[in-house]
Amino acid sequence: MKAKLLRTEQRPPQNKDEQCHFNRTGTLPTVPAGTVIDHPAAWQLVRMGMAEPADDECCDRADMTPERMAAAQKAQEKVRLGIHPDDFQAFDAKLLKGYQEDGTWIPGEETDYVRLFNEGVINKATYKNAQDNLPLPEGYEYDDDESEG
Amino acid sequence: MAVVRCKGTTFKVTIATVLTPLAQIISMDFGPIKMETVECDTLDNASPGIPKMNTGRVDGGKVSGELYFDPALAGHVSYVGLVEAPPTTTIACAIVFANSPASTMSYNAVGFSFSGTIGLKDGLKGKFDMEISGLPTFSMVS
Repeated sequence: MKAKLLRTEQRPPQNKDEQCHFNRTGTLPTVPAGTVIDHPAAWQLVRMGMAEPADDECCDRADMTPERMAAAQKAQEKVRLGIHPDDFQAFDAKLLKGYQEDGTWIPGEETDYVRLFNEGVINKATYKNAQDNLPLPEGYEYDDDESEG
Repeated sequence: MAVVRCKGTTFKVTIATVLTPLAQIISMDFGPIKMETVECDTLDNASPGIPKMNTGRVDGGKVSGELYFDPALAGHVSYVGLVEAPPTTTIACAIVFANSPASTMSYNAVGFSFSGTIGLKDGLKGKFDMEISGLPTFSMVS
């Protein structure tokens, strides 16, 4: 059963040389994007959004519509970046695209979290997280009780 | 020297030869990595204290964690599948920490387990647990 990797993925060290390299550099060996994995569990990689089927057997076993496959690949991106479940909504709304060294958000393409909250795109918890991590969007003012000083 | 944040840490299990990240993890624990000891008291020991010595063996301990369980999520289903169909070999796993460049704790695991918690005031949660075979390897990049 074959599946083709969509991105470069890590794999465990498989011999002493690779283990030594990992110990010295901290870098796990990788499998390049486009590599065809031939393994009885290859369909699981497709289900997880990490690969696409490379033969009929894998396609049948994964049994996913293109829409479900796209959704799985999008979800995989959140996992890959280590996005905390509390921030999934913010990630989906493009308010955040990862974390800084200190754990604060790396801002995404979208900045107007107030509008997103008013439109019901994000909930109150995400709104509060956005307040803690992003500057107030242009055109809005702090309430008196929330303003600094 | 740095205090490394936890947000952004990923846990990976080998599936189909590739280290695949497990989604929606809230927290994790590892260890204790513990020296095995033996009591070596003797009848003629006048001290009330119990003398001990190291046997020279070390237990790698366990890795466990909690996640928001999604029974329809392929990664979670695969993990449960791993528990239900025990592999004949150890499974390579890795915890990739959120420092930059990322440090990694790599180890081989056996004895996987999974349990769930369903509560009125919380989301559906699961707990995973595994034993480390041998010792974990930490990549100490700085």
